[in-house]
Amino acid sequence: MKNSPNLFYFFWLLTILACSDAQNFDQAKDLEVITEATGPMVYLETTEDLINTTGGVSQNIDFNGFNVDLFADRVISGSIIFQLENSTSKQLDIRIDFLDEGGNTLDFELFSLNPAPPTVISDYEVFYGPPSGKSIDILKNTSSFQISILNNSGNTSVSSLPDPKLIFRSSASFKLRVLE
Amino acid sequence: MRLRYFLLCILMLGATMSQSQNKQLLYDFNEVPQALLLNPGMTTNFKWYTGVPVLSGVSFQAGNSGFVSNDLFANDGIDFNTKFRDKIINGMDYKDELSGTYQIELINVGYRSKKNDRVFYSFGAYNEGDAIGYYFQDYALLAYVGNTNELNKKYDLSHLKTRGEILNVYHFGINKQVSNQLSVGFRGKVYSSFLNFNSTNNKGYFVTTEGDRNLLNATLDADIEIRTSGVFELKDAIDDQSNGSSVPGILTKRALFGGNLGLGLDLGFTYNLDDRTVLTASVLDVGFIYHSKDVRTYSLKGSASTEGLEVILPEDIINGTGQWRTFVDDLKALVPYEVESKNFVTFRSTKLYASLRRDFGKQIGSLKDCYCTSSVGGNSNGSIFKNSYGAQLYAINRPRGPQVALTAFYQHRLGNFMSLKSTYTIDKYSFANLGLGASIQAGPVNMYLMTDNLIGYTNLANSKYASFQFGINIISWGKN
Repeated sequence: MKNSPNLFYFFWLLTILACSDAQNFDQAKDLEVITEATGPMVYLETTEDLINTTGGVSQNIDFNGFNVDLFADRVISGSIIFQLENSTSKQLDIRIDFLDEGGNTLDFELFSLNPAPPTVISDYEVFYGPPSGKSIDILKNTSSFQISILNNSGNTSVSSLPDPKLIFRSSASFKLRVLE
Repeated sequence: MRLRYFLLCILMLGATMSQSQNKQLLYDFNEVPQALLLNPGMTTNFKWYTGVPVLSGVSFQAGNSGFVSNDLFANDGIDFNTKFRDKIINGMDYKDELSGTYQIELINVGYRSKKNDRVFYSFGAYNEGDAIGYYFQDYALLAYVGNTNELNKKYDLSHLKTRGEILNVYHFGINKQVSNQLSVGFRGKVYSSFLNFNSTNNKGYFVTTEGDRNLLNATLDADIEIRTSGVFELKDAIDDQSNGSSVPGILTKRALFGGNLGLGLDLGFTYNLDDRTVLTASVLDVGFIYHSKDVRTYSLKGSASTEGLEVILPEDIINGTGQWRTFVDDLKALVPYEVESKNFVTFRSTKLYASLRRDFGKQIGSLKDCYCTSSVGGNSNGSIFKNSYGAQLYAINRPRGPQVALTAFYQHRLGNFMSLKSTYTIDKYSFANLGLGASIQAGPVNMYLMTDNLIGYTNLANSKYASFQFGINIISWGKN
């Protein structure tokens, strides 16, 4: 039995000697998780025939991707890339209106495209949020787009290119606060 | 804020060890009755024993394969976000484990058969909790970095791999000395589960690529399932104390076979290759639990690829409204998220132990003809030697396949009243795990205390792993 106290002295010593560097767990409060998410947005195409027939096109598109809480509560900043491809024989002005729930215009973008040939592909990037973009609230309150195509070349010309169209492409990239 | 702490808790709790559940110090420690729970075929020289309720076997193990506390919480003036990014996001990968385990014996009793002194019975109950999660690397990358600059990267959804449970185990074991060379044992178990969660067979990916028509294409191919049992009745009881369900009442019911039940068994043997060489092996927790009460399964299964909301004119010119709703509904239909109450079966984490022991030094005494109350340990011949050394193997089945640990040990006996065992364990996470255990026999009282990763105690903030186990038993030695 005389050795049994030695054992407990050992474990007691172990406990006493057990050391730890000073830790500051409050640092966890500083953790920020901000992700950069990107994805496709809207694709629209229209034929030259339709432009010739109607003289112009105006299309309303529901888009609630920006005003859902998951996005609106977390978005910090971002950008939308628009790509316009014109293979029609028309000089076109494209206007994109950002509309709120009541159909009121929150903001708009204007693009002008020269007639084909050759096929014209133009990229535009519009920034939102800090440091120098448009107000992020525009997107948070957007519930639909109005895409208007104004034909400035009459309604008789026909492109020499096969299957002439106006194509509207878009994608969006945003910084989102995952943890706050 | 709560989400942040939740994330950190998951990381800290989870970041545990390959050694989790490995009780290399206790295994084949014949002087301690709890070693019978690790090898029901262990050599036994107890006449009877009883554990002190709740104190006879307490063990806890926790650790971290990916980072140490100092990496994140040292007072080093480095921005926490920088450390988090370097050590967690960029420093860990999907093979890093997140796990921990504890076990508390409630009752443990053993007695030798009066009809056949070569047969020893033991029974009891213990409460056990075990959880493991692997670092969900691609989910974390998606949440922390995002996909903007990661076109064509396939985020692997199988990185979500976790399971955990709290249960009571009721057991009854039979140990028999078949011959002077061989002892065998069997232990039957009934599991009564308090709660369980598991998500281990997920598949799929998320990827963003250049689109065919639009600028980008996003594809989700998911086969994800998270199954739980016993969680929501407890949650409801905690949230709404007025509905008549009390948490203690629910826990008591589940502790006493009112939870989800299962069956299991342990098998083991000890074989004397010669007078001083002993081979042992055991397989533990070959069993299952059938979950039929308070079950809930969340699933996300399907495949969808989108290039955004598409409007083709003139076909869609009349569809002025509702495109978004249709777009979202179509995606949901392709990858439906469902919550169901369906029964399921979980298999326990089966463990395997094996050891080869060589005894040497002075023979302390023989229990073969001695029915005294103070001699302990020994091989099947009853011989006890002052020293032993050997090697042990441990393996456990985990969601990513078996994990193995190798241990070298040396055991020294100070008469019949104290035994010390030291271990050196290696596995894929650590090559410096030294452990020390001791058992003291003070009259009929047996006490044991074992701790692992001793080097880690020099600076706990730099340690990835810590474990301890202790217990108090009342033992009568001898075969009559």
